[in-house]
Amino acid sequence: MAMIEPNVSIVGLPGSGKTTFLAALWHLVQSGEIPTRLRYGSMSNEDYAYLNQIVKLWRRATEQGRTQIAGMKSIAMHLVDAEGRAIRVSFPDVPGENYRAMWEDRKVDEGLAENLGTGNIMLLVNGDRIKAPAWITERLHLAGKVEKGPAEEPARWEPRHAPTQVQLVDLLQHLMRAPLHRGARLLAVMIGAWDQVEGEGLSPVDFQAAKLPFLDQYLKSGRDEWTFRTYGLSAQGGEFDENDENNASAKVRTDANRLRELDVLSTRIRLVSDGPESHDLTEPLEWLMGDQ
Amino acid sequence: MVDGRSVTGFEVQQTLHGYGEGHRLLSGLASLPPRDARTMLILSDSAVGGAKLPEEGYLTGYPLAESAKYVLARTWPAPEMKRPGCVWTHSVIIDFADLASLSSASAILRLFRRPEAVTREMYEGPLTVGDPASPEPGKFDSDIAAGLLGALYGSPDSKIVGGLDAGLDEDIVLRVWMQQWPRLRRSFRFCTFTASDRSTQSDSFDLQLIPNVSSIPRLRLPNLVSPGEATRAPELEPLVEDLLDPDVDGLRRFLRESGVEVSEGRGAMRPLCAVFAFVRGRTSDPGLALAALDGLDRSRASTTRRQVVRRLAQDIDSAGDLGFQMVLDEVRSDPEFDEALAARVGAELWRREPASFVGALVGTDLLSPATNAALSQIDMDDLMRGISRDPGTAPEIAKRRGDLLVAEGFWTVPGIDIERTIASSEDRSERVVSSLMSSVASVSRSAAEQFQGGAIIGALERVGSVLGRDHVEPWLQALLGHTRDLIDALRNRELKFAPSISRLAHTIDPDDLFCDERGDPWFDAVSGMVGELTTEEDGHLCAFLLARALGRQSRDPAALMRLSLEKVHRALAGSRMPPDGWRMLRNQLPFVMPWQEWDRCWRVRSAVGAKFVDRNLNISDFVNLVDDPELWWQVASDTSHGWGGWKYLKQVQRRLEVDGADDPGGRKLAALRSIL
Repeated sequence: MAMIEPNVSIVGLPGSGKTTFLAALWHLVQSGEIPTRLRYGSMSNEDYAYLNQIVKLWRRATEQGRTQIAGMKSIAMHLVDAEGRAIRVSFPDVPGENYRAMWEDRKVDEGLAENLGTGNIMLLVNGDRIKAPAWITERLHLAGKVEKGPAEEPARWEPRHAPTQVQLVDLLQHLMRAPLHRGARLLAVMIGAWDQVEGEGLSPVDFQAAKLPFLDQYLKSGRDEWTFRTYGLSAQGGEFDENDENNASAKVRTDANRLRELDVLSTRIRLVSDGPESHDLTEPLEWLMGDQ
Repeated sequence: MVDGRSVTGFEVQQTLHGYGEGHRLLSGLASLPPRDARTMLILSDSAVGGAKLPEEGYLTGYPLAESAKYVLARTWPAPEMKRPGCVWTHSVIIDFADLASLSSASAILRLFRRPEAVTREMYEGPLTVGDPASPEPGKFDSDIAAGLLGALYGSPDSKIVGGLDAGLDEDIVLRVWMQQWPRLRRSFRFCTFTASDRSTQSDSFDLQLIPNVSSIPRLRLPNLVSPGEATRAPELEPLVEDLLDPDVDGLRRFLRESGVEVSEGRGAMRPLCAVFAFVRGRTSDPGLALAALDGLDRSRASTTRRQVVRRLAQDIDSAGDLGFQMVLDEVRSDPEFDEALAARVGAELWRREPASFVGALVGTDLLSPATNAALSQIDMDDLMRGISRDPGTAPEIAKRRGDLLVAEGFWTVPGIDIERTIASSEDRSERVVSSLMSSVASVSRSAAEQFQGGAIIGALERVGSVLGRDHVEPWLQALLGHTRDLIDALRNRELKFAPSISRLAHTIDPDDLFCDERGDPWFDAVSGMVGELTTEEDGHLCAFLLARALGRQSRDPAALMRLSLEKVHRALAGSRMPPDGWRMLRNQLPFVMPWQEWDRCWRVRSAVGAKFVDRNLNISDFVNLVDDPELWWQVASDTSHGWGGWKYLKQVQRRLEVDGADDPGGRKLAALRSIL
């Protein structure tokens, strides 16, 4: 059997949905509820506890907690394709703080660098939490409307205040520079929380061009050797209950009840691309394996 | 109060971590080195995945190695934040030096503030820790504490994970932390609420509490130990007691003093406790303390070792060989070792190894004064016992303990070299000679010759009377080297005990002592002699005196002959003269024909007469030579046959005819007339 490893790194800023994606994928390949491009083979490091913990919340339609900074959880999964080839897929499910540090502090953790330096990239972007650029003309326009408004001290600029797409482009540029550079790569841009943003009537590709123009232009310019595809992803399928861990007043949502009552939980997952919509999260993974 | 010093408070830095598009530093100290800042970022994040955090939060304690600071942080759940799993963490950053001054964590605990109740600005500046209070007695189950301490210090390289439901809590963890010596305290990592191992590859957590004991097996931590009944260790009992009632027995002070030099971390606690128990007299078995010392780096743990040694020294007589050797080494190397204690150690060295003791006595290291001090205190019986074990030590010991030279039994200790022992001592007094004589030890002449004649003579007079001839013989021989002293002693009648004089006569030659114008010393001695002699001794002494009279040395032969002739003649006539007496006498008699040798009496009479004639001795002395008239007649008769005898006797006759005072009844005159 051919062994190809490692291949995919899930990348995303804090709260971009990396853990939810992993939980949904684990459910998908474990349950076998629906046919998928890739199917579950085995786990190499047998770290089921963490996967079971996050998939439990996913099945209960409860929000995932933050991934803690301490202890990067590297999940290595063997998936098997239709032709019987075993593929080792490594998911460094690291907290968004690590990617944030790459932007804010210009530093990358050693373990993370090892992972990012070898695989193709799945970039998760929370479509519902994109921080847009604050245009000066808009600010001036708004200020003109609020005459004699409260005088405000200009806030000191910090890297954290940068627009989401600026941070993402910087992140991708990091991946094309030493020590993370490994040559041409495949990139799957996953616009997460698609169920929340699809109301705008844009396809994922158009959404990227409209909401993340800087990122879109960077990728299309071919300045770096990215071959990319853009997907819309709803790994939850709707609004989950708030996590009641340490929160006695966690909200229970009706949408979550609907999701729980689905006969086939895998159908919560929605993957939107140029082709027909599917529930198969392994589809972009299979594509990301394409050059290996 | 810490070690008697008053602690007046100190400043600490603080930080606040929480969620702001990811967990991050929100406020406070920002000048930490990157590695330490990263450590704080990680450890200020939630310690649990799915478990519910306690509302009051939990504590995490850990060092920042590069900054030389220690962080005590409280982490609270932050359900008010939109993302689940967010926390607030308020960290207090304490300099290592200040951490050492804490005796209770309560002053730090009072500083913690959850963000909801205060503004962010409160986390910007430094905080002041008030006067640290003394630790209060603990209120917890001693069995639980014993299990925890046993796990921590019994498995020093393991991660200790205990359940909150098993009675462990924040309070007991803080008390355990505060009980540690500063060096251990500042490296101790703990967390009072977690659901997974918080250790990293480089920084292992010492102690972590989790909600349920039952979940420990699922943790899959490498090298994990869980506190409980099985982890309790009896030797840590002092620690348990101290945890319940802090520092009542001086344990913390002991740990503080000793811990500064140990490098074994948690692994040093058990050995230190064993040492503490021994040092404080809680156990009397030094073996445990010595074994404990083996568990520490000896080159560093010098304070601990010194305390053990001090304790061993106090009961030095019961110390084993190893312990005793340690104490010796300490005395040798520590100039401040208590002098009285060192002297006791020295005394014990004498008891165990007399030869080593002597080696130390003459050595130049610090053990020398200790042994010298000890030597002045060791009683006579112990000295003798030691010398019996190693007689070769006698000279050096006697040199420093003069009283030994006159101690009863000393000179008879088997194996001692008397001559060398005398030589090593400066005491040449009569009482030493007396001691030697009365010990009836075998003394060589050369040994005796080390003393002056006066001392020997005095001793002979004092104790010689009760001793056998063999025992005084070397002393008498030694006297021959001091003839001036001997002559004076005889003349002044300092040597007047008859048996002693008799033995002297056996020892020396009749002509050995010279005479001066004052007369013959032998005459003075024998004239003033006291005490009884046996017939044999008397015969020999008279033969000696007569032989001297007939010899060349005496200036007063007539007097000696007057003392001895009659007795000698009687003994020869009665065949009672001892052979050695006759041999001595014979050497002074004129040569005779072989057929004349049998008549010893005649030979003596002739020799005496010839002496008078030849030396023209005093007529009066001849007249009074003997009391026995018959013997006098015989002497006179034999004298008349010698050369010049007739002429001398005619002078005697004329003397008697003029003055017959010395001839009652005229018998001597009549006798002369018949002879002449």
